[in-house]
Amino acid sequence: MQATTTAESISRIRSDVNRRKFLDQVFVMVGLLVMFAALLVLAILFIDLVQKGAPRLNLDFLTQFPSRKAERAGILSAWVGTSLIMLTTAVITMPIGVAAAIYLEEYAPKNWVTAIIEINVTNLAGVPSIIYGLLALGLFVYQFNLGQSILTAGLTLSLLILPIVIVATREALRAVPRPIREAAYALGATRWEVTAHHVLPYSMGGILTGMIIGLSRAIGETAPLITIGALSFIAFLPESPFKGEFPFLSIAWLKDAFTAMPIQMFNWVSRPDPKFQVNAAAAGAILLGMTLLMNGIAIWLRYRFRKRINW
Amino acid sequence: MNEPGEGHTFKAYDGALSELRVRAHQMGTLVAQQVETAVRALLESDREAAELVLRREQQINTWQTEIEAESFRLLARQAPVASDLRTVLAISRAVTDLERAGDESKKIARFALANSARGAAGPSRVMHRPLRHMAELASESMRVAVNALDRGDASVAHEVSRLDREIDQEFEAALRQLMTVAMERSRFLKPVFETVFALKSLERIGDHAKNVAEHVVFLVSGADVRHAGAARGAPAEQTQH
Amino acid sequence: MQTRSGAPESTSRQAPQRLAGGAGPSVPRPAIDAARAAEPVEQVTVKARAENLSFYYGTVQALKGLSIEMREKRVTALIGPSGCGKTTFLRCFNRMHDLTPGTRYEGRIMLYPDDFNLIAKGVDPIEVRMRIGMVFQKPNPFPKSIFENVAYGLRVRGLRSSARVEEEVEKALRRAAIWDEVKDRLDNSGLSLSGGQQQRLCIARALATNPEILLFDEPTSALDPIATARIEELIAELRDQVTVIIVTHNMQQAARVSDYTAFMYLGELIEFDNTSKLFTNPSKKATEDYITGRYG
Repeated sequence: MQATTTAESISRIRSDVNRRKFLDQVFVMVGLLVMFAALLVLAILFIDLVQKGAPRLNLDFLTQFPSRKAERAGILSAWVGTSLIMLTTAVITMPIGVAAAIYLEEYAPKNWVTAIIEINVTNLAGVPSIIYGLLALGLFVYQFNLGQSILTAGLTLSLLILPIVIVATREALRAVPRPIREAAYALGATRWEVTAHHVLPYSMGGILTGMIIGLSRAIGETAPLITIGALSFIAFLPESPFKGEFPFLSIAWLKDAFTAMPIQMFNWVSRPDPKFQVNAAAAGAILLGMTLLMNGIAIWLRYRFRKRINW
Repeated sequence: MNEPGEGHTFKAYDGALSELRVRAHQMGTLVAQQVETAVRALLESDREAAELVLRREQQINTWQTEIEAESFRLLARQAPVASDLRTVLAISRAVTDLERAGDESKKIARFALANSARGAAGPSRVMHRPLRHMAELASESMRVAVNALDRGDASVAHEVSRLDREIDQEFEAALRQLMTVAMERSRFLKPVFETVFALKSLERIGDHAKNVAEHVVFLVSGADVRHAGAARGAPAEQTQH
Repeated sequence: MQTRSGAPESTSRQAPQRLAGGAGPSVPRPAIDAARAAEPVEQVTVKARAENLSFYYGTVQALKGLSIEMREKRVTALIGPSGCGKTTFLRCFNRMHDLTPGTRYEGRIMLYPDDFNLIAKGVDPIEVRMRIGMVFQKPNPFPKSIFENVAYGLRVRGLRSSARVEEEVEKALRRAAIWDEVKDRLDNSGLSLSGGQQQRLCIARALATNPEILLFDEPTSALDPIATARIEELIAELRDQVTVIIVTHNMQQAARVSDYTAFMYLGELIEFDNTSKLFTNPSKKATEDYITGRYG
């Protein structure tokens, strides 16, 4: 290329730049199109559910037990069940998942045993959920005799999302830059001090995000819960976790039978009475809303932690 | 001059340094010529030679200014270290001495002009022998010093230093001789004075040649031998390794 | 793994070697530089001494039998082309390599006055790091408050009294010449500071624990010239308080801030000398070629 700045060469440069910028624009359009297509599907689904379920989307729906009469049936036991199962799952998964991730990321020696464990953890994330259900049925229900309880459901879903949480947590831990760790080591900190004082706090945003992503996967799971014997018709609530007298909290509910949102929906969908389809749609809208809410919290958490920590 | 290793990775630095060396050599050669020409003008009463010296003097001054400006720029922009730093410092010191030697040549040339205007009469015949000897020594020492600067050869420093001592002794002897002349024939007082100034100029040229040689020693070894004689009592200076 | 050259450690307890007046044992004493020549006798104590130090990353030998002394309360600069092992060498001093599996030390690094071989088998790297501080290439403050950044080293050392911690934090921030800039916002995040301030905060963090040696690994390579000048000024001020070893790519920086300079090449020590001497008249041709920019 000659460095002469004749009018001709300038116009050539301009047309070249314009052509390349056009390609740039084309990609932007394609990208936007694909993204909107995905969003549109979700929006249509949600709007469809809301429309269909509109007659039942009211407070009564949330406060009524299931019933043989479609217009009197509610999702009280389902959402309470789902909430308690999620709580149980979270409480079980968080320490186990984070501890496993910390061990693998910070402590495990880099050898073939670790490598095999790592590969397996990643692979476990891809195992169909029904398999977890079968495993849980054999292990928790029959072997450990935990019954068809909330505890069993929580344990089962924990198994299901542990790989997700471990992988996400490891990513979050790895995102803590090496110079930060070195700074702490250089001040004489032990490995545990480095982990507990620095790595863990700084990666908490990512860890919580991973946790919530895992839970939003678990909240919609139906197959493993059916496998372990979730009831589809429960007209009572589990024992309350709150009590009037000391110590005010109870864990007796863990052993109670349960139902959950997706199971309730499944039950209603399979009924011939079209009025129950309305109920199913309403429950679906609420379940979808719960999932979106959890994802929203994940995004907010990530934003909050990122704002505080920008390497 | 001494050239450690390959050239600089940054080629423009090489260019600037070698430009500096080439110009210093040019100037040195011209100054050595000035000394020789002035001496010839003096010894052979050559008016043309004397005028040539006076004409060329301006060139030396210009070159000195330019070389010093270039050294200054090099120091500021390349921040030379080690042998490069010594090269730049040695050259900028050397050109000062060269310029002064040029000035002394000019004075000698003026004296030669005045002398030839007066004719071969007067004391010049009496003064001819010491003048000739000193002129040859001064011219020789300047030539050797300038060559040493160009080649980066510190080994001739002793030679220049010996020549300088010889010049100094010759100067002392010539002064005594002139004193005798002045006392015997007071009408020669003016030419005697002029001769003393010429001799003094030659003696100064010897000093400047010695300084140039000392700058060469500094350039090559990093040792400052300028006042080595005076500082003999001080802890031994580190020289070569 | 460790080769014990010389006398066994237990029997070699001795006073720190004085180098003044040639009393020290077979120490190649560099010429006293002009600025210090005025002092009647220069008292230089050896703070640390690497003896035949070799270092391996797996099977790759990065350091090849280095022997060098670090003088107490002086600044020693390590220079050399990339990959010459200067940072590797620096990181031996606080056992930073122990964080990487498959690394191995040979030889000794003696710390004086207690004759402590800090790379000996059985010496806990944490103990070493409690005594030797480090400042890194890129400013790396913790994403905590300015105060907590400096206090962290003290907390690790079990200092609980908040009054004492506050006092030490202020002292360290003052020593790092950043107190005036941060005293009104100690609760702000360390990351809210500019690059140069962050690096001075990191220096304060390292100083808070009163290290015997402070290691600098190219501390200004990520900073602009003014921030660089402030760090250099700070290092010059620290000179009389702590032994400093600094790795730098910037030879002018080595020339400006250090008392002694070591030139390393391909994992070996080529030349160690008084900085003034090394930068005006190096003894080795390789050093000359490198510092004048003739390194191919």
